[in-house]
Amino acid sequence: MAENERIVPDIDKNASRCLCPGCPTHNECMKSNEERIFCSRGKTECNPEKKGCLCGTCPVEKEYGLYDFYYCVEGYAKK
Amino acid sequence: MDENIEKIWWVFPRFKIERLITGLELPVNLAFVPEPTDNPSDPLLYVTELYGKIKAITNDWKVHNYAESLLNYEPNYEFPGTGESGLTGICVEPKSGDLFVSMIYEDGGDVKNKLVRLKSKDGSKMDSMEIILEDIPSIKAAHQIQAITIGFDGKLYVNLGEGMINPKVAQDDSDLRGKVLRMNLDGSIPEDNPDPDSSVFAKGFRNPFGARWRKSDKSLYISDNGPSYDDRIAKVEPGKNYGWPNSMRENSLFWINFPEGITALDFMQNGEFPFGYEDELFVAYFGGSYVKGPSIKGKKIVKMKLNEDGSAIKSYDIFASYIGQNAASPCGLAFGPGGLYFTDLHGEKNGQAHASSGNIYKISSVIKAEGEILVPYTKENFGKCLCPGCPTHNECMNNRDERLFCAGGKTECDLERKGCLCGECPVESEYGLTEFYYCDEGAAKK
Ligand code: SF4
Ligand code: SF4
Ligand code: SF4
Ligand code: SF4
Repeated sequence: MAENERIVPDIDKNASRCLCPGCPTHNECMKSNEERIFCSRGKTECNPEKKGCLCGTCPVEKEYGLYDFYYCVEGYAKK
Repeated sequence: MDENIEKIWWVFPRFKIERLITGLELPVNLAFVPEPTDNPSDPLLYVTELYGKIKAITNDWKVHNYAESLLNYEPNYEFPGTGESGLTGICVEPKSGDLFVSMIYEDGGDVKNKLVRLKSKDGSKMDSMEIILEDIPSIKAAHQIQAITIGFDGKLYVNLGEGMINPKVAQDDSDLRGKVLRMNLDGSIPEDNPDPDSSVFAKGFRNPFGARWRKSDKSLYISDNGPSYDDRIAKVEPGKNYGWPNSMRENSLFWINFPEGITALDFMQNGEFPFGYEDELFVAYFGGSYVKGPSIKGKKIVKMKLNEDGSAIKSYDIFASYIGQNAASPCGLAFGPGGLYFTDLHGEKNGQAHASSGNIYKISSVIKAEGEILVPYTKENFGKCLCPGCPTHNECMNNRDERLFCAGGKTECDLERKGCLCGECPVESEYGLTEFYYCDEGAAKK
């Protein structure tokens, strides 16, 4: 996949604003790998159970005009 | 009706109060028609007025003079004192719509109790009266015949005060005073009474003002007023002795040592409030018989949660409280369509009760306000709500077991926004919602 399809750049400013660590879907496996900002880095291999998603109120999502959920399961946001 | 109502009545968070009727003359008790029709001119409820009148209120909330001049003596408006008695208990017979009412009367200088059955063709005006029970000695000082109920067994249950002068009669099995009676609807004694030759069902009561049947255990609960100590609530069981005049605590499930004039009571058992209040008991505390302004005694409604077998209470809250400057106080109380209704005996006019300023109020849940809120506050939606897993859902909200804010409205807890799960919630998609942070913004409105 071409890097230019990726909407959200994986930069510290975005990673620090990402809400994933507080999300009920964010499981032990994802925590131990320090995974977050799935909208940029893509899906996890931790097999999360969908328990709700915080992306809808995330400032990163707002900044890049996204409106999807569950990037940790669906993969990163594409153009 | 009164835009300043919240300045005179405080009600529990997430409830609202409204005045439905004013101008009543000492409204004591109210009784709803068990299965009202949709017809606007059919009766919805009845109210006893202490000095011998009954009002019928139809589905269109028009007030009709159902009966007048039911007392055969001139009442004297003395509060406290000999003005506290008269026409009190009322219940509607489900099949015929007839009324059973209780009152005192004079008989050659003696004061006595009686229970009558009233019939009406259209339910708005009395046509005839039949005496069911009479000739029981009484007194013009409150300890008279009180609440009447019809049990799940179809029998008539009657609370009788002990008449004050000689409290020992409450223990005398051959005297009907200080008892709860059980009768057939025509006044005859059912064969399966504790004593098949007596209408006495239970004994040892003082002034048992209120009575109500609880669906969950099919049992009768009554309130009983103590002397200068111990008002109580008891579950009434056949053949039991409730102790008076030795004790106001015997076989009681709850008592307050500092008496507050407990009057009527009812259970939230037909979905009038949100499901979290299911089976809670609501009790009117009248207080002193005529006290202006707020008072440490009475002038409030409390709610309690009972344990499974009705032998004790698990929680206790003040649910409504009078904070105005007049003689208002809740007396009768009953759940009806969409809320808890209560009578306010004296109302807002000062200078004893001649003023006909008694009211009927309704307290309803803001959560259940129909037509405004999009998502119904149901057990099912409560179970689907994702809020408990949300990082914004903090300890305060958790301790209060708050969630389903899209239906129930915002929290009173302080919160910090840490993200919202509403966007992927099944409730949100079911009702087509698109917003976030209902816990902070309030319920989703139509
Ligand atoms: S949109 Fe979702 S995945 Fe992306 S930064 Fe925000 S919370 Fe993390
Ligand atoms: S992408 Fe959404 S569901 Fe997955 S961890 Fe982040 S906020 Fe939670
Ligand atoms: S939309 Fe939000 S508040 Fe409403 S049920 Fe779902 S998670 Fe709870
Ligand atoms: S309304 Fe939204 S922010 Fe508030 S607790 Fe529920 S999911 Fe969390």
